[in-house]
Amino acid sequence: MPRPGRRADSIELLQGTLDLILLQTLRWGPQHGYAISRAIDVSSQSTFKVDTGSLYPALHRLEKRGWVASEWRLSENKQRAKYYRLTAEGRRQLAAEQSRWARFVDGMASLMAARKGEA
Amino acid sequence: MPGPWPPSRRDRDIDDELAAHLEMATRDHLDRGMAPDAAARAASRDLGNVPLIKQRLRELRRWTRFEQAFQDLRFGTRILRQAPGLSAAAALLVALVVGANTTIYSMVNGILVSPARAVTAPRLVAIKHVEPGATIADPFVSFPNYVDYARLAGTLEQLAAWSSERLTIGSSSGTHAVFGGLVTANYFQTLGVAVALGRGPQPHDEAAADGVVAVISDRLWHDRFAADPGTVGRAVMVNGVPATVVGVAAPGFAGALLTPGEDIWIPIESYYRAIGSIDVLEDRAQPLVAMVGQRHPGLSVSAVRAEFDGLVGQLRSSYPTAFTVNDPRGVKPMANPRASVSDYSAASLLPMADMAPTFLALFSVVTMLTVVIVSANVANLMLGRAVERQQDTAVRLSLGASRLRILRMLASEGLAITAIAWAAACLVAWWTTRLLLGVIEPRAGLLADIRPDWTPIAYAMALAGISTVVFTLAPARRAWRLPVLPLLRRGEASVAHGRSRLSTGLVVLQMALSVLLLTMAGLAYRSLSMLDSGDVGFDPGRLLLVSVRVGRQEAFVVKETSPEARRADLAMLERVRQRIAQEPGVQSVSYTRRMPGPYALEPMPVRIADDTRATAFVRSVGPAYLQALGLRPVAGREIGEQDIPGAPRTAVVNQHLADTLFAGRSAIGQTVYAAGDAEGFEIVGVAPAALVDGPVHDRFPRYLFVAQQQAQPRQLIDMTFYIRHDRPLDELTPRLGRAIAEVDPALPIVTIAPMTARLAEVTELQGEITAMVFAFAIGAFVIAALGQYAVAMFNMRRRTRDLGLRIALGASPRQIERSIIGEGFTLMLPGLAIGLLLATGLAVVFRAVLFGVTPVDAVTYAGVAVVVGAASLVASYLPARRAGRISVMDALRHE
Repeated sequence: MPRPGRRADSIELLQGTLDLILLQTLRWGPQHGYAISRAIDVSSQSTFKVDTGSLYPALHRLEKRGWVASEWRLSENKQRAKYYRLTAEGRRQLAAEQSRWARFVDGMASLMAARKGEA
Repeated sequence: MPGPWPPSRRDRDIDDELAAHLEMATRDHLDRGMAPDAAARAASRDLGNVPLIKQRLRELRRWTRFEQAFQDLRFGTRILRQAPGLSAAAALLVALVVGANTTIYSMVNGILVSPARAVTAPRLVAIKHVEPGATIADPFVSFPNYVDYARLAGTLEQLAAWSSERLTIGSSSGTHAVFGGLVTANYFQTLGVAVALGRGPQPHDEAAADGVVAVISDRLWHDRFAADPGTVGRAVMVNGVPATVVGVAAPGFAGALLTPGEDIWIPIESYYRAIGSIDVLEDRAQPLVAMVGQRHPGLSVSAVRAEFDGLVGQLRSSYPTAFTVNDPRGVKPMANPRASVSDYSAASLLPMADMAPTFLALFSVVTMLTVVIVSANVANLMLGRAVERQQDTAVRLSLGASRLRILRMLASEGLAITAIAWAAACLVAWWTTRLLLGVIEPRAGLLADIRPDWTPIAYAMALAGISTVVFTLAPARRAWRLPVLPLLRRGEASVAHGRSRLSTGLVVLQMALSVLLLTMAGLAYRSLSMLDSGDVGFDPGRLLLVSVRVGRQEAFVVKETSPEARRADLAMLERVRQRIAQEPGVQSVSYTRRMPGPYALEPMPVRIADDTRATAFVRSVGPAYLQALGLRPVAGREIGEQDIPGAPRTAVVNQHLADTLFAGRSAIGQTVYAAGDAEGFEIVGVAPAALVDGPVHDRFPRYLFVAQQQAQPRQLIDMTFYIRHDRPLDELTPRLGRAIAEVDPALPIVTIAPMTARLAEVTELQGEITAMVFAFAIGAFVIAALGQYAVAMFNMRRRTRDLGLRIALGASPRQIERSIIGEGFTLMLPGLAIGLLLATGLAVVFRAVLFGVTPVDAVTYAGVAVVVGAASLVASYLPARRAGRISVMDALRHE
């Protein structure tokens, strides 16, 4: 849940897009939960704030579905952390989600354009 | 939610992951220059509600792992609760059948594999000769063959042998006939039978020249020696040979086999030497002893068998005539003998062991059939419900439940029923095993250790489980291919067309079977209630029955004796009677061959001079027979001491026979002829109507009593003294034994029993059999009724739309109900008719054991018809009532 007032310009994630974002983030290599949440924060230019209460359940769900795998490793700061990485199935899923997302965005865009034309 | 169990590895994993997150966030804040505690606060604020996150993570995992299985189970039990009657019916069906099958299997298997009581040695094998292709049940081998086997067999640690013989034991308490074992010295040791008091036979006993030693059973010790510890060392006579009691066997031990139940064991060689027949033991062609051996540890039964096959060949080449077998026509050579070696049990070496594989094979077929029949009934119940739920299934599918998930829910319902049935089956098996034990136990305590065998329960439940799931899934299979839309539109029930003819046949068959059993149980019960309420017509109290064995018998064969010897036996009988009559406490005494017991008797034809004929039971009795029974003749006199050979032949008829033959005229002085007897008897008296054989046959038996002393000199076997007394039995019995021995020391006593005990035996067995038949009949009846209910319900649901149409066209609910009930009756009537016909046939066959009830007893037959009709009415009324309430709109809504 986004925290109102703390970062007014962040918006709530669209239902179902968190999975896509997580898979996308893990595309570059294994990461632990904290790094993932930082990466989303940074690469979306703080548009999306992923709440920890959604992040970890989502990661665990992806793991359950076999899209990501996890293992305990030491971080660069020599700290034990749980790293998630994409599985082969996860990569396929990511590709599928991406094309769907593209269609969704195209659809939304032309819908919006049509609305403008009508007006 | 945190469970009551300690944190698992996965729980710690979650904790660690969140802790790492917190630490890294804190470090980030510190790096950005925050003060340490401010950094920690900010990090934990970012993380949010940690317990809540943990709970969500745990729930996520638990849901996927357990939740679905748990949900399925909950679904199964919820359905059980929703339709408790139907589920209970299904479970009850399975439980009854599985329980009954388990009981029978346990009993038979128990008898077949259990060792005799007090036999404790492991690895015992029973060894006999068989001839392929010939049915030889006789396990005996000659003694020289045994000696060679014992010497040569390397696979056995020990090999013991024995021969069961009828023996008479003479002691200070009289002479008694028992079975005994003539045994090799290693008999007790090989079988692992403890000798509770004194010692067992030793090798040196075989060589003893002065008399023999004997080990007696615990039972004999109690019954004949009053459990006196001083019995060891006591001298007794065994078949006229002086013997010394050296030991008392462990309680319960009565020989290595189920029958005949031995009471004394004597070393075989010393015995045959003492009776001067040692040549019997040297005859290689005389089958004599049975063998049981103990395998070496680590060697299998087949290893022993292989060795004995070799030994048989070896002995045969040395002694071509050594292999013989007892045959009804004498000792016969065996053409192609083989060794048969099997695991020892109390039934091994007995004919029943040879029949066991056939029986068990037959039995497993029966089990299979019954389980299939019951499963078909369960399936009908399930199908009926599946029809009802088809729409529900379609709704679930349309809401996105996976088809696999629906299959799993249906299967879990079947499994839930099976689980309940399993528990009930265990109860049924336990109960019926106990009940059966009481009925069939051949000798007290012999089968006391038999418990329900859980192997067949597992086997039958696996069968039942599989068939339940299969029959549950049969409708579900349709759900797999279910087109969702048509079913959502119309509630048409279309499962399993063409099943109904099979179901109908099944219902009729079950109905017929249960009617048959119910009728038999009813007849038995009617008969029994007449027995119990029936007065035998004489006073059975203070009447002691003592049976003695007259005539010369050896082993199992009664030897024909000359007419002179028979006359001597008769005279001896009379001397014993007179001697017993002198004992203080004896009021009167007589004798006859019969005593009351659970036998079926056949009357004989009798006639009088004017050729009026009747049937009657003809009894040869000693003097004062009626007096011993506590009766007085209603006219004339009874058979007395004056009725001796040479005097005019006299007879007494009972009241019923007198009424039948003379119809009001006086019987006294008339002549009566028994079957095949040219010379008649003069009737000297009329006896009151009394059931002197107990209530075994007909309620109004006709008796013709003739004088034993004047009867055709037939072979005498056992004779029973009827002794009316006024002293306690404890005091009287030993004196009677001594009195009989005084007249003839060689006259063995076979049984001593009060009349009341004998009479109880007559009805006891019948009572127990009746109870069992009733139990089975009720089981079969419940199965049949439920079967009918299931079929009726199924048919009704399948035709919901038809019925709705008829109602719409103006049929009243009452008409609908009536037509459904009518259909039920068309199922029931053929079953009832077939069952009653079969029952009549069977009852005619068994009429001899039905007391005071004719095979076509109207009360029983009417009762069965009413009960079955009522059940059938209920079974079809329930669906009928539901059919009558079908709402037209519901039935036709989606048309």
